[in-house]
Amino acid sequence: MGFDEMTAGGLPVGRASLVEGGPGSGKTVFALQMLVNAAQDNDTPGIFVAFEEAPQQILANCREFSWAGSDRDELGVTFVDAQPSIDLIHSGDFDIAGLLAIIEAKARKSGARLIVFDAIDIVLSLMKDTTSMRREIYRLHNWLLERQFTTLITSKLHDEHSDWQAFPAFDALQFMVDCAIRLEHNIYDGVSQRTLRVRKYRGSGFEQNPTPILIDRNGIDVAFSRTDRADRVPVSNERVSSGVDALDAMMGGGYFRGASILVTGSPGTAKTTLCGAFADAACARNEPTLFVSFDSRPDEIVRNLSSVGIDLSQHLKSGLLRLENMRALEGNAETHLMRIRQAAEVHGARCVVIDPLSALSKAGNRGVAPSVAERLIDSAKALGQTVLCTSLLANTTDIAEGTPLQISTIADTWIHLSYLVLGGERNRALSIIKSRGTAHSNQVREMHLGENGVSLSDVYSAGGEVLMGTLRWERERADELAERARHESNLRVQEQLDTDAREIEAQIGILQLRLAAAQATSKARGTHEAERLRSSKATLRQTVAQRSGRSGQMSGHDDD
Amino acid sequence: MMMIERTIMFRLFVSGYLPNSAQAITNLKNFCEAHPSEQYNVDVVDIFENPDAALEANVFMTPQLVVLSGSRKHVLIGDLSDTSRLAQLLSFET
Repeated sequence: MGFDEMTAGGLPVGRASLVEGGPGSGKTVFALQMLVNAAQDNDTPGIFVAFEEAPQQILANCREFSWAGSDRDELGVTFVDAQPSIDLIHSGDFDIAGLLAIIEAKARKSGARLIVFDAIDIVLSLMKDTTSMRREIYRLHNWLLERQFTTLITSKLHDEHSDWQAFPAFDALQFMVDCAIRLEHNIYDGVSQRTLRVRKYRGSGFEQNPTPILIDRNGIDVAFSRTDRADRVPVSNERVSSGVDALDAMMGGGYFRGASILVTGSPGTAKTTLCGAFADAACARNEPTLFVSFDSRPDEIVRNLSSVGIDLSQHLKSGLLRLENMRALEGNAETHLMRIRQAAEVHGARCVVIDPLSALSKAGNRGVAPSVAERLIDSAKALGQTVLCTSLLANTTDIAEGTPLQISTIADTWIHLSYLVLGGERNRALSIIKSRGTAHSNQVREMHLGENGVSLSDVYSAGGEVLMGTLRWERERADELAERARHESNLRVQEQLDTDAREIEAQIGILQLRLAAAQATSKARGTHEAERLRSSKATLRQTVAQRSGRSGQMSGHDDD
Repeated sequence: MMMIERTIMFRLFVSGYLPNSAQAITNLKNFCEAHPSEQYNVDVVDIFENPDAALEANVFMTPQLVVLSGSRKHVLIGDLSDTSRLAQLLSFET
């Protein structure tokens, strides 16, 4: 129950231990649980000596605990009802030797090696003087030492801050035991916080700080686990998908297996949607997943996420997904921590989603919540579980201060979701503030929620301005139109040039034709002229011949 | 003075010869001798020898004296160093 780890092995065997605490701090439950566990797990019968309450009453009070069967014989514990009769008449000094003789007889019969003396202060306070009390304490001490019984003595606490006083010889009792445990039950801001502290443990190392305890169906659970901080699972290089392809791409493949991821953001920035996407992806890989919600009922989550294309109902049906609604459950941060751990353990979860983790720091838990959150992450890490938790940030200035639970420093990956309000619109933006061990994009992305899930798009930066939503659309469109116009104008110029060229070519053709025609004409004219000259000469000679005597001798002269 | 004839039953639970128990035996013996007018039936039970009897009688602290006088039953705890309460119970004049 965590106590064994806290003390590196449990109660000292063959020695006496003391559990001190105020009324209602859980002493009796602690003692009985120890006996029952020993009887059931190690088959070691025990004896429970009840000074304050009747055994029937103790059993009735413990009946609700999972370890307490309906039958008292099944418990493996012998009860001795040693309540002093209220009608006792005092007539001098007395001792507890008779009681010890009875217990010894009982132990011989049952083979018991474990004995609980519940509320020893009751019997000691019957004694008239401190000397007798001390004597009886030493009697008990010697008797236990001789017989090597493992003993647990419970007693009311002597505390200077309390109204009630312990019996005067309390110091002797503290001295005689080898292990002293203090149980405390305090109220901080209206929230109950139980703690256990080991005050001394001879011959053993032990955790010195008060450790929270929880009393629930399983009895007392001590919220201590040394292995929380141990590196039980080797660091993994395996990546697990965030359920959003674009986000995986931003981180170079997804979250690391066994990492803790923190998603912060104002209300409505789609934190739960990222959780849903992660859970969906985990279940799709056949990994048992626990989804703890402090916000909504399971059916609400399923319905809401189905609107963005994330169908968790199939995983609920297949049993891979377990949805836990802790909103309705009362309790302090420790209680929630333990419930989450138990649920994760029972489910064998490989991925755990807590939405939102900041619910732990509600009123009354502020003091312990950071430690609870840290231990939650530590224990998940020790088990190799990948944890995605969300945290509400009331305003963006919180980023500078870290998250309310200080988990931003423990988380391996921190994704921040925000709104950008521009041009009368709220648009979701996602940025990775840190992601240990992975190269990650430093750019803010615009996040869209659609019927097919979450998608991211590169933000549109223009002129040093980041544009999203309609503005981005308008700007994109304007740029596109301008581009088209430019393109068209280019086309036109080209066409004009082509046309011009073709026109010139055509003109060249015409000119060539005209040239050819001109040349042809010119040639034709030359031939014709020569013809004409020849014919005119001939005609002239003929005429001359005719005029000079009609003899025809003149014609010969013309040719010379 | 008229006395009703009666037998007073004393059952004294002791733890062996531990000081308180030994003292109680002595004190009870002295008490009986000091009040000889009565008939006593004294039964000393050593829890070391017979723990079951003590368990049955719900006796855990010793010495313890169970007094049966007529229909009345009283339980005294202690070494009986103060017998005035016993005498008072049994309506003796002290």
